[in-house]
Amino acid sequence: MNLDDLIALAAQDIPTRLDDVRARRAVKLIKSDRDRLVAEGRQITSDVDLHDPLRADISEAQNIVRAAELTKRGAIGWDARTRRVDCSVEMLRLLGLPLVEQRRSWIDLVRLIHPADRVTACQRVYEAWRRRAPAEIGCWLRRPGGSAIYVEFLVEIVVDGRGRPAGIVATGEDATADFQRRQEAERRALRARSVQQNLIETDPATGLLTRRAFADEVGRAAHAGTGTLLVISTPPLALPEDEEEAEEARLCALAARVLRDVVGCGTCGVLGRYEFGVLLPFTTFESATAIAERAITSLREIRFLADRNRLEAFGGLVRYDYRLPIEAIDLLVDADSAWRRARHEDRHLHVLREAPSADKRREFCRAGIRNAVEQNRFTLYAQPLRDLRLNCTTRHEILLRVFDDVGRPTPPTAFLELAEHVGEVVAVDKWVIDNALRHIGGGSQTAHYQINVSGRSIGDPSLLGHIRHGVERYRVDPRRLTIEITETAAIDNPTVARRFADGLHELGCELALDDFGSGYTPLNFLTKLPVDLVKIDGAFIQGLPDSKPHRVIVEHLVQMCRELGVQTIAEYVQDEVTLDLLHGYGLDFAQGFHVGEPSEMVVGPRHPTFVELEVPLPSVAGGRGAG
Amino acid sequence: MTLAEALPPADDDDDRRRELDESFRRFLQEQYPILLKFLQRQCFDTHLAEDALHEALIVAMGKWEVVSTHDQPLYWVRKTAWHKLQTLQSRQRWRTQVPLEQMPHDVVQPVGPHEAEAVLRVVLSRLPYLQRAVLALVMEGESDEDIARQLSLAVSTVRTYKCEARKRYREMLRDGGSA
Repeated sequence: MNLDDLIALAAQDIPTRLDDVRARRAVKLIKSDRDRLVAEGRQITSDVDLHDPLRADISEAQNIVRAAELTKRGAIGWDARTRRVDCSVEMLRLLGLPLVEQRRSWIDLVRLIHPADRVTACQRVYEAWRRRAPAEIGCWLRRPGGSAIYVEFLVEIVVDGRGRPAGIVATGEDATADFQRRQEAERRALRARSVQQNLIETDPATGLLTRRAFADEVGRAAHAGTGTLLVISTPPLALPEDEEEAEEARLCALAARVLRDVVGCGTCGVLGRYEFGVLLPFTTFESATAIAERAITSLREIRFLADRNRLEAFGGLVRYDYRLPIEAIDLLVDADSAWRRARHEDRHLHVLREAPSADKRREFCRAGIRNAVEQNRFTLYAQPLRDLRLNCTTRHEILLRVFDDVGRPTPPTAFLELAEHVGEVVAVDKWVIDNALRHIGGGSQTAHYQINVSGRSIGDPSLLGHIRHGVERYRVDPRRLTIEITETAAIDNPTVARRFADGLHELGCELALDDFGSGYTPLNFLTKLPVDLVKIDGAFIQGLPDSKPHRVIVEHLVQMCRELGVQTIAEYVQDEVTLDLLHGYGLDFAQGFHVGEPSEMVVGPRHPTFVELEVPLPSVAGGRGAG
Repeated sequence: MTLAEALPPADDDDDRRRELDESFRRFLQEQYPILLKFLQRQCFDTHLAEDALHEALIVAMGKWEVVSTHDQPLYWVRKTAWHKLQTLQSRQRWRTQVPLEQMPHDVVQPVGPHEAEAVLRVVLSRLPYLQRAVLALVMEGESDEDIARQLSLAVSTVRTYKCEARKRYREMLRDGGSA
């Protein structure tokens, strides 16, 4: 329906009796209100113009200026014939000009407009004049005192008696508050879009919490009340080699679903490959045991459903109490040792009634880690890094892998976390340095290698000597070696870190920072440590094409680093689109499954025969180091 | 207009006062629905519209002796009420905000005057406030010059706003909006 028809239809509305009554009531109400106001001695008619709007004794421009005065808007008039510019008192006040009559020109007024808005504003006024159409112009004005206001003008073209354009009248008012309110609303909207909506990180394959998120939950619970923590391990009894990966994912997802169905109210997390955690707040050993038994029985039932790939299930149960403060990682270690005990004794569940003392637990863990180092329960992988300018692989990062319970190499996240926690990570780092250097020395030494060292280890005075010794012994070219500091949070002494870095430079090696931009890497490391290279945290690179906030952060991190002479690497590059983006941002190197997967470097003696240890060596799937 | 015209006659002429009151009552009886509809088309908050109108009418009552001599007293009252409404709105910072929950959502094809009115109000609600006032007066069948005089705009402005309002309406139709 067109607008005229619509208006015609609406106009058919005839007044009803109701309107009549309403009008009569209004008359009464107005009379009484007026009498009351008069009785109170209020001024009623101060701000009205009694002029008859239809009487054509004032010009169009005068009419506009007059109305502007009444509504406290400022007005500027320009007469095309006399070329005179007049400002109303209100406008002078708005512009912060002295309230005196003086001849002004457009130039004087244009000078008041902020330079950023000046050209646009002038163009729009000119355009309005040319097209004889009004224009609404908002611009910042600088007042003589130096303060600024935002004024919204309505620029109108007035005509003379014969319809020819006769001048311009602009009326305006201070809209600074409105403008700021609009800006603030826009800023908030932008912020709402650029901030992560959901704080809880879940594992995409199973829908359960990730290891880190689960540990956070455990830590929170352990400080807030009492309850129990159940860790269930579901190692497969046998897995055909060929379909390992797919089968593994299927089994894990299945186990997670069963677990979630049984546990219901508890919080579940994936702790590692075939390892799940369940937090059962406000339960005692008795009530939790019943739940745990039910969960384990259900999990064990899975193995009869499938025609092969049977799962085992063992559980370890520990208790927490806010009155006996314990860290989440320690609690997880206890639960871990409990399920291992259950497996050792071939029972469903082990309930750890007496938690070990902190010292005992620590010693226990350290011994386990030292054991693992002595028995070479590690292997090294190398992952290619692509030089984005040359578009070819020029570097490799050497990654540690830990053999898990069934003798398969797995990423060492949880293992290293524990080693850091109990202060035994230096031994692991030295093992990595030794073996990596030996391998590099044995090769042709045409590529550049990056070796990871924990931030805690660089505080160890013997580490630098160890590196120097290794470089000399295996005849490694130190200029082809970069030491990458992981777990920068553990750098507790900047002076020591600086000495280590200087020592490395003296040796000829380069220094890199891992996980830059997340965790605890302060920006001042870039000025305090002679860093050559930073690796931007993979969390920013994953899903880069879909996340504007991440793109902004990566782009500007790279720009900042480049201006400081620091090279940049992006990890977790998973597709071509991401790679193109990174290329555009000017990153130096890219790493990730799309660039090249890690492959094993043959190091010393092959897999040792597996030794069962009553020591928690949590094996973990996914996570850091996977590239 | 001289001062003598604006003030009531020196001697209390009861007849004259009664006559004025009666003329004001007649004016309201006739024009109140029109005035109220105009204001409701501007702000969509019935109470705010009524408040503005009452304030304006209280003023009008005081000045009726002058206002009633105008060619069209309605114009003056409407203009004054419109200004009052703007003052009230800017005090409440509602000029740019329209409470949309009061708007009907989907009136596809209006069949009666009431539905047409509802659609028109949706159309009006999507216009800037000056265009809204211009279009509301267009709906009452007024000429560009009269609209310009009442709203204190230039005639060229009124013409442009009319075109823009029509353009906006066509866009709404095309976008499958509520009109």
